[in-house]
Amino acid sequence: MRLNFKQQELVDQLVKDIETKFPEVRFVSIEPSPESVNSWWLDFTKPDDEERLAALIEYASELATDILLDYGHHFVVLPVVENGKATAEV
Amino acid sequence: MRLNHKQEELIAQLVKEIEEKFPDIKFVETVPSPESVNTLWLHFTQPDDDERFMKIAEYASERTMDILLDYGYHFVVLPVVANGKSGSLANQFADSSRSIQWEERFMSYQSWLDKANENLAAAQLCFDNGYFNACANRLYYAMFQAGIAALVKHGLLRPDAQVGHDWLQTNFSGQLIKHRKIFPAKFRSYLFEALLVRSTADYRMASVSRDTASRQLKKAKEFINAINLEASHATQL
Repeated sequence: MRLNFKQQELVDQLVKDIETKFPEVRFVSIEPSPESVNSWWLDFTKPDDEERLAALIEYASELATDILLDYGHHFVVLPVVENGKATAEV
Repeated sequence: MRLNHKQEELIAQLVKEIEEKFPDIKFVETVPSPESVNTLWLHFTQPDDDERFMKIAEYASERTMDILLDYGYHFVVLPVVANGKSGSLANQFADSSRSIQWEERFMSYQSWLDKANENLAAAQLCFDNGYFNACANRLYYAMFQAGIAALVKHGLLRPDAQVGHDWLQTNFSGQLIKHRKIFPAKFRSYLFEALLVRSTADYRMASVSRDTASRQLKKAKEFINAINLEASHATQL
Protein backbone atom coordinates (compact mmCIF):
# COMPACT_ATOMS: atom_id res chain seq x y z
CA MET A 1 0.00 0.00 0.00
CA ARG A 2 1.43 3.36 -1.03
CA LEU A 3 0.55 6.97 -0.31
CA ASN A 4 -0.85 8.87 -3.26
CA PHE A 5 0.56 12.26 -4.24
CA LYS A 6 -1.89 14.28 -2.14
CA GLN A 7 -1.46 12.05 0.92
CA GLN A 8 2.33 12.39 0.65
CA GLU A 9 2.01 16.17 0.42
CA LEU A 10 -0.26 16.27 3.49
CA VAL A 11 2.03 13.98 5.48
CA ASP A 12 5.08 16.10 4.60
CA GLN A 13 3.27 19.25 5.76
CA LEU A 14 1.99 17.57 8.93
CA VAL A 15 5.48 16.35 9.83
CA LYS A 16 6.94 19.79 9.12
CA ASP A 17 4.30 21.53 11.28
CA ILE A 18 4.82 19.15 14.20
CA GLU A 19 8.64 19.25 14.05
CA THR A 20 8.57 23.05 13.84
CA LYS A 21 6.29 23.44 16.86
CA PHE A 22 7.95 20.61 18.82
CA PRO A 23 11.63 20.69 17.77
CA GLU A 24 12.50 18.02 20.32
CA VAL A 25 10.37 15.38 18.54
CA ARG A 26 11.22 13.70 15.24
CA PHE A 27 9.15 11.84 12.69
CA VAL A 28 10.15 8.14 12.59
CA SER A 29 7.93 6.17 10.22
CA ILE A 30 4.54 5.83 8.57
CA GLU A 31 2.52 2.64 8.18
CA PRO A 32 -1.06 1.61 7.37
CA SER A 33 -3.31 1.30 10.42
CA PRO A 34 -3.77 -2.34 11.47
CA GLU A 35 -7.47 -1.58 12.02
CA SER A 36 -8.61 0.37 9.00
CA VAL A 37 -7.71 0.49 5.33
CA ASN A 38 -8.50 4.22 5.29
CA SER A 39 -6.09 5.21 8.02
CA TRP A 40 -2.32 5.82 8.33
CA TRP A 41 -0.27 5.89 11.52
CA LEU A 42 2.68 8.25 11.87
CA ASP A 43 5.17 7.35 14.62
CA PHE A 44 7.14 10.19 16.21
CA THR A 45 9.68 10.28 19.02
CA LYS A 46 8.28 11.00 22.44
CA PRO A 47 8.69 14.41 24.07
CA ASP A 48 10.50 14.70 27.39
CA ASP A 49 7.71 15.43 29.80
CA GLU A 50 3.99 15.00 30.31
CA GLU A 51 3.14 18.66 29.67
CA ARG A 52 4.84 18.58 26.26
CA LEU A 53 3.23 15.25 25.45
CA ALA A 54 -0.23 16.59 26.28
CA ALA A 55 0.44 19.67 24.14
CA LEU A 56 1.64 17.49 21.26
CA ILE A 57 -1.41 15.21 21.48
CA GLU A 58 -3.71 18.25 21.33
CA TYR A 59 -1.85 19.94 18.50
CA ALA A 60 -1.47 16.82 16.35
CA SER A 61 -5.14 15.93 16.84
CA GLU A 62 -6.25 19.40 15.74
CA LEU A 63 -4.11 19.23 12.60
CA ALA A 64 -5.26 15.67 11.82
CA THR A 65 -8.91 16.73 12.29
CA ASP A 66 -8.38 19.62 9.84
CA ILE A 67 -6.90 17.21 7.27
CA LEU A 68 -9.73 14.72 7.75
CA LEU A 69 -12.44 17.35 7.33
CA ASP A 70 -10.74 19.20 4.46
CA TYR A 71 -9.29 16.30 2.45
CA GLY A 72 -10.87 13.11 3.82
CA HIS A 73 -7.54 11.49 4.69
CA HIS A 74 -7.13 9.95 8.15
CA PHE A 75 -3.70 10.23 9.78
CA VAL A 76 -3.05 9.32 13.42
CA VAL A 77 0.07 10.73 15.08
CA LEU A 78 1.63 8.41 17.68
CA PRO A 79 4.44 9.94 19.79
CA VAL A 80 5.77 6.61 21.04
CA VAL A 81 9.41 6.21 20.00
CA GLU A 82 12.48 7.07 22.09
CA ASN A 83 15.99 6.73 20.60
CA GLY A 84 14.62 4.51 17.88
CA LYS A 85 12.89 2.17 20.33
CA ALA A 86 9.35 2.14 21.63
CA THR A 87 9.23 3.83 24.99
CA ALA A 88 8.10 2.21 28.20
CA GLU A 89 5.55 4.90 28.93
CA VAL A 90 3.71 7.57 26.96
CA MET B 1 -23.84 -4.14 -1.73
CA ARG B 2 -24.92 -7.45 -3.28
CA LEU B 3 -24.17 -11.03 -2.34
CA ASN B 4 -22.42 -13.23 -4.86
CA HIS B 5 -23.73 -16.68 -5.69
CA LYS B 6 -21.41 -18.49 -3.28
CA GLN B 7 -22.28 -16.17 -0.39
CA GLU B 8 -26.00 -16.72 -1.03
CA GLU B 9 -25.48 -20.47 -1.08
CA LEU B 10 -23.47 -20.45 2.16
CA ILE B 11 -25.97 -18.19 3.94
CA ALA B 12 -28.93 -20.33 2.81
CA GLN B 13 -27.22 -23.45 4.18
CA LEU B 14 -26.20 -21.72 7.43
CA VAL B 15 -29.74 -20.41 8.01
CA LYS B 16 -31.20 -23.85 7.32
CA GLU B 17 -28.85 -25.52 9.80
CA ILE B 18 -29.45 -22.96 12.54
CA GLU B 19 -33.24 -23.01 12.13
CA GLU B 20 -33.27 -26.81 12.17
CA LYS B 21 -31.15 -27.04 15.30
CA PHE B 22 -32.90 -24.14 17.04
CA PRO B 23 -36.51 -24.15 15.80
CA ASP B 24 -37.45 -21.43 18.31
CA ILE B 25 -35.49 -18.78 16.39
CA LYS B 26 -36.00 -17.50 12.86
CA PHE B 27 -33.76 -15.80 10.34
CA VAL B 28 -34.62 -12.12 9.78
CA GLU B 29 -32.18 -10.58 7.30
CA THR B 30 -28.60 -10.11 6.17
CA VAL B 31 -26.97 -6.68 6.45
CA PRO B 32 -23.44 -5.41 5.84
CA SER B 33 -21.43 -4.99 9.03
CA PRO B 34 -21.13 -1.32 10.00
CA GLU B 35 -17.53 -2.02 11.09
CA SER B 36 -15.99 -3.92 8.19
CA VAL B 37 -16.58 -4.07 4.46
CA ASN B 38 -15.65 -7.76 4.45
CA THR B 39 -18.24 -8.86 7.00
CA LEU B 40 -21.96 -9.63 6.81
CA TRP B 41 -24.26 -9.74 9.82
CA LEU B 42 -27.08 -12.29 9.87
CA HIS B 43 -29.90 -11.22 12.16
CA PHE B 44 -32.03 -13.88 13.82
CA THR B 45 -34.85 -13.57 16.33
CA GLN B 46 -33.85 -13.61 19.97
CA PRO B 47 -34.22 -16.87 21.97
CA ASP B 48 -36.16 -16.94 25.22
CA ASP B 49 -33.33 -17.32 27.70
CA ASP B 50 -29.59 -16.88 28.21
CA GLU B 51 -28.82 -20.62 28.14
CA ARG B 52 -30.36 -20.90 24.71
CA PHE B 53 -28.56 -17.75 23.55
CA MET B 54 -25.20 -19.20 24.59
CA LYS B 55 -25.91 -22.49 22.78
CA ILE B 56 -26.82 -20.62 19.59
CA ALA B 57 -23.72 -18.43 19.93
CA GLU B 58 -21.49 -21.51 20.33
CA TYR B 59 -23.04 -23.41 17.44
CA ALA B 60 -23.18 -20.42 15.08
CA SER B 61 -19.59 -19.47 15.89
CA GLU B 62 -18.35 -22.96 15.04
CA ARG B 63 -20.24 -22.93 11.75
CA THR B 64 -19.13 -19.42 10.78
CA MET B 65 -15.53 -20.27 11.66
CA ASP B 66 -15.73 -23.26 9.31
CA ILE B 67 -17.06 -21.00 6.55
CA LEU B 68 -14.34 -18.42 7.16
CA LEU B 69 -11.56 -20.99 7.04
CA ASP B 70 -12.96 -22.97 4.10
CA TYR B 71 -14.28 -20.15 1.89
CA GLY B 72 -12.88 -16.88 3.30
CA TYR B 73 -16.29 -15.30 3.93
CA HIS B 74 -16.92 -13.65 7.29
CA PHE B 75 -20.48 -13.97 8.59
CA VAL B 76 -21.58 -13.02 12.11
CA VAL B 77 -24.81 -14.51 13.47
CA LEU B 78 -26.67 -12.11 15.76
CA PRO B 79 -29.76 -13.54 17.52
CA VAL B 80 -30.96 -10.11 18.63
CA VAL B 81 -34.28 -9.20 16.99
CA ALA B 82 -36.80 -8.91 19.79
CA ASN B 83 -40.13 -8.77 18.01
CA GLY B 84 -39.61 -11.92 16.04
CA LYS B 85 -40.17 -10.30 12.66
CA SER B 86 -38.85 -13.10 10.52
CA GLY B 87 -37.93 -12.55 6.91
CA SER B 88 -36.62 -14.62 4.08
CA LEU B 89 -33.53 -14.74 1.98
CA ALA B 90 -35.41 -12.81 -0.66
CA ASN B 91 -35.46 -9.83 1.70
CA GLN B 92 -31.71 -9.51 1.94
CA PHE B 93 -30.55 -5.91 1.78
CA ALA B 94 -34.11 -4.65 1.53
CA ASP B 95 -34.20 -0.99 2.46
CA SER B 96 -35.20 -0.03 5.99
CA SER B 97 -38.75 0.97 5.06
CA ARG B 98 -39.52 -2.54 3.78
CA SER B 99 -37.39 -4.44 6.23
CA ILE B 100 -37.07 -4.18 10.00
CA GLN B 101 -36.63 -0.68 11.32
CA TRP B 102 -33.32 0.92 12.19
CA GLU B 103 -33.84 0.82 15.95
CA GLU B 104 -34.76 -2.85 15.87
CA ARG B 105 -31.79 -3.61 13.65
CA PHE B 106 -29.20 -1.77 15.65
CA MET B 107 -29.87 0.49 18.61
CA SER B 108 -31.73 3.61 19.59
CA TYR B 109 -29.67 6.65 20.53
CA GLN B 110 -30.57 6.02 24.17
CA SER B 111 -29.13 2.49 23.98
CA TRP B 112 -25.90 3.85 22.46
CA LEU B 113 -25.78 6.47 25.21
CA ASP B 114 -26.43 3.92 27.98
CA LYS B 115 -23.55 1.79 26.69
CA ALA B 116 -21.33 4.86 26.42
CA ASN B 117 -22.05 5.72 30.07
CA GLU B 118 -21.33 2.12 31.09
CA ASN B 119 -17.96 2.20 29.28
CA LEU B 120 -17.14 5.55 30.86
CA ALA B 121 -17.80 4.05 34.31
CA ALA B 122 -15.58 1.09 33.34
CA ALA B 123 -12.82 3.53 32.28
CA GLN B 124 -13.02 5.19 35.70
CA LEU B 125 -12.76 1.79 37.42
CA CYS B 126 -9.70 0.92 35.30
CA PHE B 127 -8.12 4.27 36.16
CA ASP B 128 -8.82 3.86 39.89
CA ASN B 129 -7.10 0.46 39.78
CA GLY B 130 -4.05 1.64 37.84
CA TYR B 131 -4.97 -0.02 34.52
CA PHE B 132 -4.20 3.00 32.35
CA ASN B 133 -4.03 1.20 28.98
CA ALA B 134 -7.41 -0.41 29.62
CA CYS B 135 -8.72 2.96 30.78
CA ALA B 136 -7.61 4.56 27.48
CA ASN B 137 -9.34 1.77 25.55
CA ARG B 138 -12.64 1.99 27.44
CA LEU B 139 -12.82 5.78 27.42
CA TYR B 140 -12.28 5.90 23.66
CA TYR B 141 -15.11 3.45 23.06
CA ALA B 142 -17.31 5.34 25.52
CA MET B 143 -16.73 8.48 23.40
CA PHE B 144 -17.18 6.50 20.18
CA GLN B 145 -20.60 5.22 21.33
CA ALA B 146 -21.65 8.62 22.66
CA GLY B 147 -20.69 10.18 19.32
CA ILE B 148 -22.80 7.62 17.47
CA ALA B 149 -25.69 8.27 19.90
CA ALA B 150 -25.59 11.96 18.97
CA LEU B 151 -25.53 11.17 15.24
CA VAL B 152 -28.45 8.71 15.59
CA LYS B 153 -30.38 11.32 17.58
CA HIS B 154 -29.99 13.84 14.78
CA GLY B 155 -30.80 11.37 12.01
CA LEU B 156 -27.26 11.31 10.61
CA LEU B 157 -26.54 7.58 10.82
CA ARG B 158 -27.72 5.71 7.75
CA PRO B 159 -28.41 1.98 8.05
CA ASP B 160 -25.73 1.23 5.45
CA ALA B 161 -23.03 3.44 7.01
CA GLN B 162 -19.58 1.93 7.57
CA VAL B 163 -19.06 3.26 11.08
CA GLY B 164 -15.28 3.49 11.27
CA HIS B 165 -13.14 5.82 13.35
CA ASP B 166 -12.67 8.25 10.45
CA TRP B 167 -16.39 8.17 9.60
CA LEU B 168 -17.36 9.08 13.17
CA GLN B 169 -14.79 11.87 13.46
CA THR B 170 -15.76 13.32 10.08
CA ASN B 171 -19.47 13.32 10.84
CA PHE B 172 -19.34 14.37 14.49
CA SER B 173 -16.95 17.26 13.84
CA GLY B 174 -18.28 18.09 10.38
CA GLN B 175 -22.03 17.78 10.93
CA LEU B 176 -22.70 18.28 14.64
CA ILE B 177 -20.02 20.89 15.37
CA LYS B 178 -19.16 22.73 12.16
CA HIS B 179 -22.48 22.77 10.28
CA ARG B 180 -25.22 22.41 12.90
CA LYS B 181 -23.28 23.93 15.82
CA ILE B 182 -24.94 21.57 18.29
CA PHE B 183 -21.74 20.97 20.25
CA PRO B 184 -18.93 23.43 21.08
CA ALA B 185 -15.93 23.73 18.75
CA LYS B 186 -13.50 22.61 21.47
CA PHE B 187 -14.83 19.05 21.04
CA ARG B 188 -13.81 18.82 17.38
CA SER B 189 -10.53 16.99 18.04
CA TYR B 190 -11.44 15.19 21.29
CA LEU B 191 -12.25 11.94 19.43
CA PHE B 192 -8.94 12.16 17.57
CA GLU B 193 -6.99 12.64 20.82
CA ALA B 194 -8.72 9.69 22.45
CA LEU B 195 -8.07 7.52 19.37
CA LEU B 196 -4.39 8.51 19.37
CA VAL B 197 -3.99 7.47 23.01
CA ARG B 198 -6.11 4.33 22.57
CA SER B 199 -4.04 3.24 19.54
CA THR B 200 -0.89 3.58 21.63
CA ALA B 201 -2.47 1.57 24.44
CA ASP B 202 -3.67 -1.21 22.17
CA TYR B 203 -0.95 -1.52 19.50
CA ARG B 204 2.36 -0.11 20.72
CA MET B 205 4.92 -1.35 23.26
CA ALA B 206 4.64 1.98 25.03
CA SER B 207 2.11 2.26 27.85
CA VAL B 208 -0.26 5.08 28.68
CA SER B 209 0.83 7.05 31.75
CA ARG B 210 -1.38 8.00 34.69
CA ASP B 211 -1.15 11.66 33.65
CA THR B 212 -2.25 11.01 30.06
CA ALA B 213 -5.06 8.69 31.18
CA SER B 214 -6.22 11.29 33.69
CA ARG B 215 -6.31 14.08 31.09
CA GLN B 216 -8.15 11.91 28.58
CA LEU B 217 -10.64 10.67 31.18
CA LYS B 218 -11.46 14.26 32.08
CA LYS B 219 -12.05 15.10 28.42
CA ALA B 220 -14.14 11.95 27.89
CA LYS B 221 -16.39 12.93 30.81
CA GLU B 222 -16.78 16.43 29.44
CA PHE B 223 -17.60 15.11 25.95
CA ILE B 224 -20.07 12.44 27.10
CA ASN B 225 -21.74 14.70 29.66
CA ALA B 226 -22.38 17.25 26.91
CA ILE B 227 -24.03 14.57 24.76
CA ASN B 228 -26.08 13.32 27.74
CA LEU B 229 -27.17 16.88 28.46
CA GLU B 230 -28.08 17.63 24.85
CA ALA B 231 -30.06 14.39 24.62
CA SER B 232 -32.02 15.09 27.83
CA HIS B 233 -32.63 18.71 26.82
CA ALA B 234 -33.89 17.68 23.38
CA THR B 235 -36.16 15.06 24.99
CA GLN B 236 -37.76 17.66 27.25
CA LEU B 237 -38.60 19.98 24.36
